Amino acid sequence: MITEKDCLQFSDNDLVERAMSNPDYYACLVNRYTESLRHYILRLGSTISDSEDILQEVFLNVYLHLNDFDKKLKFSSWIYRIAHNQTIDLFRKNNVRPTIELNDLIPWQEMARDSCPGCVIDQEILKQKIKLILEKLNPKYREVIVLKYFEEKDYNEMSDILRKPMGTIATLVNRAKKQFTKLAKEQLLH
Amino acid sequence: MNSITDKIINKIKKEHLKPMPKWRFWLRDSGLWAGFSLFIFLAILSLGLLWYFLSDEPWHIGYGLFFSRMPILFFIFIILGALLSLFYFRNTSRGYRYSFVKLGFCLLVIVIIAGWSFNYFGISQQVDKIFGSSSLYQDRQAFMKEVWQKPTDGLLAGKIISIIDVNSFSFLDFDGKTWIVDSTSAIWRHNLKSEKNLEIKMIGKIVDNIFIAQDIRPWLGPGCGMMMKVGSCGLIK
Repeated sequence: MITEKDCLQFSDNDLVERAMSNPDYYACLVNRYTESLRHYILRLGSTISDSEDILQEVFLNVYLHLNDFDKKLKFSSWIYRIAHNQTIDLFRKNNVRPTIELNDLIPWQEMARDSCPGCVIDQEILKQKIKLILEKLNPKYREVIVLKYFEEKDYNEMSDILRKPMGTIATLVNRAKKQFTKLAKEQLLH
Repeated sequence: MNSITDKIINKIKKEHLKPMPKWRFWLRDSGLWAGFSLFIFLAILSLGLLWYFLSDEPWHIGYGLFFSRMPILFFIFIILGALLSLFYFRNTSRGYRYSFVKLGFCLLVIVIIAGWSFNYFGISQQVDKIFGSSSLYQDRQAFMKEVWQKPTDGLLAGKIISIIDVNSFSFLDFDGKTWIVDSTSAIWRHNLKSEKNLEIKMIGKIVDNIFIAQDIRPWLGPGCGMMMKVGSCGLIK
């Protein structure tokens, strides 16, 4: 049995190597990434109940595809990519509109305040307005904003997660910020 | 362990799940690289052949001919090959890191340089010979005859049937008509020499029923670019 303390000694890549022959080592990776991936899936617009199913599928898929992991990439980028694809696939399959759970508002609040510096708004109203902005935001822009501001990924990692060139990522981030600012101004001034 | 970890690990152990073998991913990646190589080769070969076919065209009679009689099939192969190779490359494990425009530009440069090299080093000519009996080739022959068998426009193609003297020979064109050709002021391209049964195409004019040749070329192209100097072409001696 591998303890959490044992897990800490190993890097992601070491754990991938060991998990191939002993699934107990895979438990370390699952533990390491469960919370961050759960948040990421929710921020992409999944419901809480769906997020659990997606998470399980992601971890199973990752396990089955361990031999496909390119060690020149960061393991975190690879697992985020699989989680991203799995989440988007589910949205497409079920033909659902992502719903935004506002459980961690801080970065959104900061962005909204930057968009309307003089506005004084009640927290609850602000929350509702941000929810509206996010739901109106183009999904491709929401994806990059989530990765950049919530997951704090750099452009290189974002490029690996979304499988897009870095130049395209930079353009998407710029456009996303512009669209967010525009929508925030409209929402916060009304 | 949290509950999701338990669920995953229990499922893996209970169902004896194993990571998929490496060879499956290797096969997928190899397929993508093979697709890329195949289609870029198709584009290069098509451009090389097109270059070879068009390098000996009588451009002086106008570019309208180029546009009206362009071998469309080769154009389609070039575009299709380039686009599909781009698609395959973008789907390789790290192909997404390159922008579509930059990648497209690089592939275009590769196709142009390699296509030119195919023609320069005589590979296009060799391929042309290999596919000599194909219907594509027959079309090309028919197309060439149509272009070069126009005596009134100063174009004549066929075979030397006998040598009269140093500066003239008897010539049978592809329509079966016999001509006397005066080659006194003609340029013989690609080290050609007047000899019986040699298939040639000529640019010149008709004066008193004699064809006065100004430019004499081998019937099938020289195997090198039209920009090359006489006798400097790759494999052709």
